[in-house]
Amino acid sequence: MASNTEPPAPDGQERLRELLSIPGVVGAGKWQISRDPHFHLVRYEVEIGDLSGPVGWWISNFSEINLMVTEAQTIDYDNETRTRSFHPPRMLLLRGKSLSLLTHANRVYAILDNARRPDVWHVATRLEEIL
Amino acid sequence: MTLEDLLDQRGVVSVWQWSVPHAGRSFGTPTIRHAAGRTSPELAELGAIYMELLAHLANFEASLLDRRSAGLEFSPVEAIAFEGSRYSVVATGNRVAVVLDNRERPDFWELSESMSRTEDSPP
Repeated sequence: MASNTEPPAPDGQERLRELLSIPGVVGAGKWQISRDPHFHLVRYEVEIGDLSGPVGWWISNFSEINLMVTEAQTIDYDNETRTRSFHPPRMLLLRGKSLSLLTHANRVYAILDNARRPDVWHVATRLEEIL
Repeated sequence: MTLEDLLDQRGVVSVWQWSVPHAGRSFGTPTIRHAAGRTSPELAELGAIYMELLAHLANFEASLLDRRSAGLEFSPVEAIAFEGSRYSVVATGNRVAVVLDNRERPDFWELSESMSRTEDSPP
């Protein structure tokens, strides 16, 4: 199972917290992949906002899977079109009923409140700044 | 709103709509009902297959997140999108997808709502 016991880097946590100042962003998190060659674990690092419990861990796992599918998808699009128009993907967005999940390819996510319609392009750019 | 109308929206360069046989529990190969704009039958089919796959994944994930959390409402997933290096793809629950030029930075919320209102194209 994933561990969220390791303290996140202060700078990264602070930058995640800054995301909440964007209207419509209600949560954010970051994860990384274990470098252990035998275990390909997703490690949930930071989660802030109105989320609680293991939800951030699930989101991290799902996002990792979704990013892999998107990575393959964009490579195939480029092969089909004989261009470099799709790969590499930068972000993935799932619009849910009330909330949306915006995932950046550098393994950071934000939870959006659909009713407040945040600027997705702007949030993606801010996510990109968090390494 | 027709599929062609979507081409008038900012940033949209191609559109397509598909259906799947035996929609529901079984997984059928998507069939393109209509495509327009700068696309090809092969690209439209590839996009339909991938977005269908992502939509299934996303709906499964959203329902699980709802069950594992208190008060979160992700399910059902109404739209999915990814931003590629130059172009992005957006798909909605009624199996409509568009390719966007990233430089235009269209309003995702407005666009996905327009896509959801698109009439079914004849098979």
